[in-house]
Amino acid sequence: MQKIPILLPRLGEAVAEATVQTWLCQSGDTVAKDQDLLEVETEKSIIAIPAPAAGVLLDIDKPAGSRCQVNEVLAWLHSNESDVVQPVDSGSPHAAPTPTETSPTHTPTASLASNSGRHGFLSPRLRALMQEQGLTELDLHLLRGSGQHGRIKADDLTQLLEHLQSHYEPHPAGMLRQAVADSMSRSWNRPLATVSSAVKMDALLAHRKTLPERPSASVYALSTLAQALKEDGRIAKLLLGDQLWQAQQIDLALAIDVDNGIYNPVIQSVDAYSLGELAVEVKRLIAQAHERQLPSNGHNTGIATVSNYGSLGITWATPLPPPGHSCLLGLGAVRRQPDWHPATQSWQCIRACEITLTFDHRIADGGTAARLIHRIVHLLEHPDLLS
Amino acid sequence: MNIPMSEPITYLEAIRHAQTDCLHTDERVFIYGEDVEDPLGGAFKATKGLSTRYPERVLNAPISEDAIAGMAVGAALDGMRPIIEFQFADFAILAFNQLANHAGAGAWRHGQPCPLVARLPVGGTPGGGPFHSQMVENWLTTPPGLISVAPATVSDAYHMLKQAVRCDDPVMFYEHKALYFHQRASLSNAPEYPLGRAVVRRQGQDISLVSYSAMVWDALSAAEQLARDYQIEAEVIDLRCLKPLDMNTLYDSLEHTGRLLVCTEAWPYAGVSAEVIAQVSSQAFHLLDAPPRRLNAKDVPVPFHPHLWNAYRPNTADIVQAALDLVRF
Repeated sequence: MQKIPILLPRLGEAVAEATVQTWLCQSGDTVAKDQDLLEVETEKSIIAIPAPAAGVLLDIDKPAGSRCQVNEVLAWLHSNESDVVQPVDSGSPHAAPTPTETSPTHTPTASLASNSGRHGFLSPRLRALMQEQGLTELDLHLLRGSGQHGRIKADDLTQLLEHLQSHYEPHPAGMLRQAVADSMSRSWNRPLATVSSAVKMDALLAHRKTLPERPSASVYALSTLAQALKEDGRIAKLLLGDQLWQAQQIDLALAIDVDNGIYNPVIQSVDAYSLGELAVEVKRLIAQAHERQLPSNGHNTGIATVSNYGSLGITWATPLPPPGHSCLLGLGAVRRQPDWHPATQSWQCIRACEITLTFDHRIADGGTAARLIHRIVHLLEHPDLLS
Repeated sequence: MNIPMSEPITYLEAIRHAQTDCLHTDERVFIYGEDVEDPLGGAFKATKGLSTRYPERVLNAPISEDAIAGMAVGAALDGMRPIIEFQFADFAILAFNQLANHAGAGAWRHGQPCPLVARLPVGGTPGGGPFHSQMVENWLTTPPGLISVAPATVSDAYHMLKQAVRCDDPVMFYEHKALYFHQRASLSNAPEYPLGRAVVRRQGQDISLVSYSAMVWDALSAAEQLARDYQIEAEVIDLRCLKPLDMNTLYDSLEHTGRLLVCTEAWPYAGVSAEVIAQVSSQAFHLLDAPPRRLNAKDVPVPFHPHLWNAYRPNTADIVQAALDLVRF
């Protein structure tokens, strides 16, 4: 059994304190893990605080009405769970006394540990070790810190490295893999959402046979996305500080799957290409990608991406748009499926696929994305409309 | 000399033996201080019997610390090797002008070494009170040119005092009164380290406890308690020489511990512990996995009452708690 403190968690970026509104249980009550113990009121909202572990609620230090600071002790819980996620002094590698035996007073070191970013305070020793190993803060997500408030100790990283040495075999990641990892990680730092819709593909598949270049589905996708954005480019923006920057040119990237990575070459002003010209350009880029001969995009990484994951047999996916791209249009694999034909009152076999639009939710809302994907569906189903 | 190498002697006896050796081997050496001559033989009997054996080289001084130090500076500049005794280090403040402005600055001012040794009985014993218990190293490590050493063991008291006399620079020799009679050891197997070297008294992987003088023993006992009760292995480093500091020994230790706790009986403000932490922070920042911390005496005059005395000076329990905080940080 151990006595663990219930702390006031950080409830938001700017929230430093809260007022205890209601206790939902009393001292002596047996509580389950994640059961709401109390409600606190911040400047913005009323928030329930769950139990970090199953146990018996002991003393309530902060009765209803008390104002308290982030990380202040609200109450104490008697628990026999060993793995408590609550950021208390747990997980020490040494057989140390529980916090009941040490005073829970604020020491300068404790405040240093809590007054920090996502991983807690990174000590100079830890930073030196990271530098020596060529690691970034991103790599620390693998670790659960054993220091106060979950701070990652240098020893935690050393132990992880030792574990890797004995259970894994290292291989150099390579520039391409590292570039993709970096791009995906940076992309993940924003809220992304996805809308999807079905597309009937028969008209498109018939249309492509009329063109000598036999444009692929990717080419049609690039062309329709370009046209849809030309008609309504509101999604094609970048958010930087308090400014939204509207793209002035429809430069689109095409995701090309290669061995151990992915390339996103950019085609500038896609709206200026005919389908035939675009087919030639796409074919050239795919060939260059497989030979790893793609020219650098320079600073122009484009405004949106097309990913034809259907070519890998995938029917539905939500690939991440690269950082700087506000959306990604994905094409699923084409399948034959029944379609109700009202005129003949019968089922007909058609070819269809799902398309997805994954977008930066900071820039666009569901409605904007829905209108865009509907327009894309319409253009794909009516390829004659494409210039 | 017939020093009993194999028999256990006290820290105070070691100091007396070292002075005897110096008087015997070097005719330039003489001892000057209040009541150092027999029959008293010094306030703590550190020179007992020496004036009888060397009547012209163990000399009583007037009750003036300023005069004692001033005379020693002149003699040292003139080629002698004076050992001066202050009855209590607290009174050495009266000689600060001679020590800082003349002994310390001498090498720069007239290009001549000033090889005097000032013996400074420092530190508190319960009931010692404000004028007979102070640690004075924070004052005397500030001016340039003064070497400061603070032995913690019988063997160091013996060897370091002899090395101090051989040293061409003025050496402030802090001898802790709580060690005088309670530290007892034989000199036979005790190694002689270079004067400026810090020594690892106990090896450990988890935290570096750095101290000197009597506090070394508190650190060692805290280390034993940390090992016994918490499976924490503390490395205990005895600085021995407070100026210049042997930082390399500290950095070697921090390489494997990553945690630093400096414990002293001196006041905190701008002292040896602050200097150690400043140097570590600027030179070995990359080794630290926790903030460097220190434990010092409280920033008040040394109290009389035993309870206040216990609260005033860091003790084993304080060291254990601070070490736990750092290891868990």
